[in-house]
Amino acid sequence: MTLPQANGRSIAAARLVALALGVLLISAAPAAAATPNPILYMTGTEYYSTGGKSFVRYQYDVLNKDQYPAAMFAPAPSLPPCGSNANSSRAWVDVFDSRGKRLYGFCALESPNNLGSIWFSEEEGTVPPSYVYIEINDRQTNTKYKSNLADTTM
Amino acid sequence: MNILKNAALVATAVVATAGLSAPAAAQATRTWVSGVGDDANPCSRTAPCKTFAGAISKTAVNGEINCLDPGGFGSVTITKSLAIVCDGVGGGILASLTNGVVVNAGDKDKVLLSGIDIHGGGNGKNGVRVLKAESVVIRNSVIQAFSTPSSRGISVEGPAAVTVSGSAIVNNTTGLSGQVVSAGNNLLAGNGSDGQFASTKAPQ
Repeated sequence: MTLPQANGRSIAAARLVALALGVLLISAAPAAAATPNPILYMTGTEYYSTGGKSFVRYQYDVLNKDQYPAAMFAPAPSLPPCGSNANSSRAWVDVFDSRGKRLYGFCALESPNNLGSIWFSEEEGTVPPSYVYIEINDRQTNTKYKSNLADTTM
Repeated sequence: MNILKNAALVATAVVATAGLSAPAAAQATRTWVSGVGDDANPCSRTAPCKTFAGAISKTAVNGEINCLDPGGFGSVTITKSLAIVCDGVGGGILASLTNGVVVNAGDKDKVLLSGIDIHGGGNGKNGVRVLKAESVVIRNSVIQAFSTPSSRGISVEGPAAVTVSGSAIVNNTTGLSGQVVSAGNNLLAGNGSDGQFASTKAPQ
């Protein structure tokens, strides 16, 4: 029994087809989605008292929180601690007023889902800043993701 | 010579002090709020504020806050003679877990609320809570959804002549509490207990 002999031309053609298939496969693979900037919006207010004083908590959610990888909010003991918490998350979240004054921060959110529970508070009777934004600081990659300005009234 | 020296020192001190003390910001008789304003602004027509609470400190006694465009302008406590007028625009207050408007002014102070939609979000305390004033007029407004067991649409708890006209007080636990006079064209319905107007007078 003899096998058909492949000539040089058919080998070259087969190589071309294989190359084209390879290129097709590579281009068809989904590109790693870039982490987006957070889309911040106000969800409400809450009133509470502590230390004999009354405060208003301004509450926010991040609309696209499900687009953040869980790894960004996992404990990162190899990175600098948050106060005495050596297991603070890889990414920290800070709340700022529209002029860049830091109002509050979160350093142990644990999960992207917890971006739905961002808040800052002011003493009751204090007029809050008109707009706030958040910044997610991925300390591992040294990348900051800044949100839109969100209202403080509804 | 010493006298001249001392005089020069005093003059320098006076000039320095005058230069250091910033003039107090003047309050405007008419101020403005906008859904896209900012309370860091002076609340002028071209640089409006964001909330009633932010505008009130920049509004003179007997002044008026106007709404430039629709928006939620936040709950507010009024402690002086003042008008908030948003007719035809849609000035909103969402008063979740709190009071929409508290009036706690002087016994000679007159307050007007006009064209305001005060919404309790189902858990607000009171739509308009009047503690003290000479008079409070509420006209062309909607007060709704103050629905906790103790919530009221309008709650008059102190000395003040409160008059309501052209307004809807609906879907609250209690519509009216205390002495409230109707000046006509009001809708008082859908409340757990509507309450009733103490009296009715001719439309204003």
